[in-house]
Amino acid sequence: MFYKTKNNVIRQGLSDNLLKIICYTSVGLFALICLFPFALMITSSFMSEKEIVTEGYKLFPKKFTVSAYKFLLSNPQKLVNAYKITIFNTVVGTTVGLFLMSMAGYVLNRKDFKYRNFFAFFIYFTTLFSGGLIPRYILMVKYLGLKDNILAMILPNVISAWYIFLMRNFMKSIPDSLYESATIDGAGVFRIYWQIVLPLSIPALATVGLFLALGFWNEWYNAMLYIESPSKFPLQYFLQKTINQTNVQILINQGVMIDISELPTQSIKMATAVVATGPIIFLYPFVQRYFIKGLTIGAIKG
Amino acid sequence: MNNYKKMLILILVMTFIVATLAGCTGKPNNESTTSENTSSDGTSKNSTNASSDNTSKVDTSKEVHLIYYLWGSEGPANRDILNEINKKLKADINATIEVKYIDWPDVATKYPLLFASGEQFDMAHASSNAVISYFTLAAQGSLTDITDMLDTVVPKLKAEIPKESWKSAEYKGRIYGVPTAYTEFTPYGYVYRRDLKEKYGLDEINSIETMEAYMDAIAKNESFPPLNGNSSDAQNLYRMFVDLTGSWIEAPGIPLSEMHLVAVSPEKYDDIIHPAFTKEFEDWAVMMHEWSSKGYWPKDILSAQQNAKTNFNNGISGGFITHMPDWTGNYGTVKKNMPGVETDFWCFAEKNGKIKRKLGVENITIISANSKNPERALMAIEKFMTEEEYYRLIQYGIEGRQYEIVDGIARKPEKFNPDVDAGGFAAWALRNDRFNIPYDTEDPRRYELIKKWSKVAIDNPYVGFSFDSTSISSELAAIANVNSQLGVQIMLGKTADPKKAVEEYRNQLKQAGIEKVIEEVKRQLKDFTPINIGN
Amino acid sequence: MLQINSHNKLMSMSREIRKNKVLFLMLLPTVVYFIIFHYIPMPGAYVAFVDYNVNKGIFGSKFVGLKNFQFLVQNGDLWRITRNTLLYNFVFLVLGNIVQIAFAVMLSEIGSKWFKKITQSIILLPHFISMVIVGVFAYNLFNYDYGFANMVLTSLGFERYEFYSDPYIWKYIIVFFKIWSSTGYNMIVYLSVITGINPEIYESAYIDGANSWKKIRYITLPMLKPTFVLLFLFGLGGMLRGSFELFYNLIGNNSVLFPQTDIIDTYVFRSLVGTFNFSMGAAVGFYQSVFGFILVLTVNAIVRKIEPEYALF
Repeated sequence: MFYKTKNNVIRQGLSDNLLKIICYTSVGLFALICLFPFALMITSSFMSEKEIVTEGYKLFPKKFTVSAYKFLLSNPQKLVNAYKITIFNTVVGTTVGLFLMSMAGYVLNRKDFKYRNFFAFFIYFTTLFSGGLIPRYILMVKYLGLKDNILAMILPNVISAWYIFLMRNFMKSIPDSLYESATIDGAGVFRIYWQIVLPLSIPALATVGLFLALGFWNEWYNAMLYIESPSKFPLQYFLQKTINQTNVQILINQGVMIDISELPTQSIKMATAVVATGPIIFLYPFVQRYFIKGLTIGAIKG
Repeated sequence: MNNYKKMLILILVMTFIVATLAGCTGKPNNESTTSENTSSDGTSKNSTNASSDNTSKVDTSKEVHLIYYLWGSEGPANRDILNEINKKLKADINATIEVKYIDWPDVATKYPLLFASGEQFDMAHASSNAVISYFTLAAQGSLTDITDMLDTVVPKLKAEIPKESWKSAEYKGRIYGVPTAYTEFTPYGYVYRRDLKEKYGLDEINSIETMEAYMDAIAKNESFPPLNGNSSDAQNLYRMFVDLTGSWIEAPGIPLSEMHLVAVSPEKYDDIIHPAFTKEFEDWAVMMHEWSSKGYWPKDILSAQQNAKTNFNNGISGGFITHMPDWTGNYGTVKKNMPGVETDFWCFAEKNGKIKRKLGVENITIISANSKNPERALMAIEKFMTEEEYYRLIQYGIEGRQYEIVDGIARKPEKFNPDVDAGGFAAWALRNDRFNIPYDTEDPRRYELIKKWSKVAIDNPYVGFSFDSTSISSELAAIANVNSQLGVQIMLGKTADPKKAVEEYRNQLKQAGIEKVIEEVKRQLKDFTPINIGN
Repeated sequence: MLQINSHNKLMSMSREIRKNKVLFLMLLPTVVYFIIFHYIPMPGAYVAFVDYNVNKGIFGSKFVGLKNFQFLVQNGDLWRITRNTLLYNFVFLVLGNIVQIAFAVMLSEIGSKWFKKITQSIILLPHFISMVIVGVFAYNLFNYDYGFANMVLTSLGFERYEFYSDPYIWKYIIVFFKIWSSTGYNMIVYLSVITGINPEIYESAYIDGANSWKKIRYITLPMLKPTFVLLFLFGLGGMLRGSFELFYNLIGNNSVLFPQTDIIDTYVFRSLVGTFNFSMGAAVGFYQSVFGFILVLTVNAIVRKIEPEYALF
């Protein structure tokens, strides 16, 4: 490296700058494309129903109105309650899920665990074949007695094959020598997991934890199937109900009489979407700090 | 070698799991069959008991709690209304009811699951048109046979509801639910604006020609099309075609939500055809193509998001196609959104005398086969349908809070606050003409038309006929696909050459097995005699 | 012989359990979970082979063999929709991963902390937008009369374009929306792998005179390979499934566009929406599962031959 010429350094700098320019512009442009619909969603939630129906969604409405939010917040009890349920599901589901799946990923990554391939297949197989809606519903309602139980929204999503494999994939980068030296020092398998592997897996835990949290935050399907009391409805179930009105049209065509003036208007749909997705967006920047560089090295040296 | 071992273990584990499961799932099946047996035993025991001693009433000394499933969602005041109802029910029949709701967007998923899972409940709303039909439920044994109980437990209810309605609820000669006692007519028609008609000096719409004149005027002079709809209008135009053509009448077989079969006339109810194979259909296809190219509906109608009714209510459609109750029910919205605008309705089926009475079975209250107290559930239904105080509570709410009556018309009270007072139940199956009060949000013409049509209406010849589609389910699925593709395109004039498209549509229908379906319908109709033939 | 073999097997297994008691215990909750929530309901897939009657139960209903699969072949559409589904998913998988890797790499090259944080979060936004709303926005963008795209075309002096009558253009629109909505989410996996790469490797490469391009080519990308293989293998299992929401909300009932945009899930939805039939729906699910299963087993075996560490099992 003593022979590196000045010329070389300059060239290195030039091409690096070119790369930087490409990176900044393409990331910036793509971010704009991603921001656009969201911005449209926010501005439309302030539009009047008539303007939306007659002229479509707009980034710059002629007239701003907060009537959709007034409608949503006129009875905040429901909304506050739904937030509580969703936050509870997200926190409990993510914590339990992270614990169980990081353990499973750790075990499947231990080379001295003879059946790891069998169990990997055992877990993966469930992503391909499922019994379908009815057996699952009967299991949840009849045998586990989870109808109208908050657990019915947490349990079906708490462990997923995909996240276990992701965990295992991350843990592969932890060098085997670390296990060996720890074992020689007399540490048991669980202690190695708890004191060495987990701290080294913070970026992995952050990633899977983020995915889990987003999943629990967005969960509405199981709520739709199993939850009956309005006091246990999560946030996204509200959103889903207000946005998805296709069935209503089918029912009206069948001769069912539904007073459509009571159905949510376009701007209410948008306002609901804003209220329901808003807070979770701030989770990501918060999680980003756990994507820490160079954790592994420090550990080996220390 | 290693792989073999692995597979062996896997197979072992799988067989083990399957074996345990067969055990697990076997059990509930047995249970459900036994419970079914006991329940049917129970009912027959009851009926024999009662018939041997006609004067004795059902033993109501034990308080029971009934679970009632309805569509819709819970309003803030629903609990209060239910409390009022339960006070009365407790005193009269020593029972209370709890309403559980299946919200509109969830009906398609949750309603079939309710029955598929064998859940414990007592009463539910049902319909012959529901995602899972009343007749399917009856055939599967999900419902309690109430035929005998009607005489012994609720004779008053039996007398209250017209014979034809009871007949429409029969499955293989037995009755499994209580049909509505409310006269309904849901013929389709074109809703249009009277002010625009007058603006262009046009005649009232009562034929294709007058409708074309109106549509032409709108398409040429206004900034919006006369039918600013979406793909659902394909089905509406198909209904229009069937209603306007001769004595054709819709027939069972293919679901009525798609391009279905017809009988050539109510009398020749067993002469089943698919309209696609007629000259009339070809002419209609050509006309639809013409209408489309004249701009009667938007170019992108197949992908448009809003339906014509929504657009109409916001002043950007010249009209929309719907059924009469939907038109008259839209009265309040039009009054609010477009002050001064009056609407008129051209009913397609009227001219050829094809207004059909709606079948009672289209709104029916059933009692689950899993109900432990079918008699008490029936008694509750009787109260709702035969006593005005009960009727008012479940249909209108609490007087002075959810409604008040001024000059025989119901309306929301002055101090009505939707955040606290909104409430009500979608218990349409419990309605009864005798107690019905018009709402101020309904076009008063609804009741004039009902009166007028009651005199001229014909009965649906298929009352009491339930079609069993199990043997042709794959043909029906294949036909559904042809209908949703070429069928929809032909109706909305979206094909390059309508005549060729009709030819292709016929071929595809044949390939999908339309002949087998028609044969099957005819075969099943052989053993069926309409009740009102000869009346 | 077989008996002895299986006896030996049990012996070695129990020895193994004794030896690795803690490891087994740590895996136990997960195994129990999968047995309860996945393996116990699994035999329910048998519903695909019966004429399902609620009160007789899945195993009491009449066995009808392959009858429930028949509607897929009745119109001769099976091959067409299978091919469409495969092609779309393949493009989603390959192109999607390339774009995700590209953006993950580019984001890691960006020095400005705030720019990085903000753009990273914004790129995740589409993941939260319901496809129902995406469908409505797409209509706002592409419709003939007042769509944004046509406004731009006319103001530039071009003719209006009938997007909703041209099936070919929708192939690209669908792929665009899929990539748009999924990039931010899956990119996170790659990003976290990149941040986990030992900085010393980069430092020594820099001192050796490698520019950023070379560092990406010779250090970052190879490090991402196992993750790519993992994502790819997982994607293969769902090769015949998925993205129903995307297709249904963008295309809906516009049958003019079906020739290029019909996938198995939308086809089945249309066939069964009027006649409610659990068994036929399950039959399709079974077809999709078996297909994905064979695909994964094959590719996994190949991967195992080449690079055993990358294989799923």
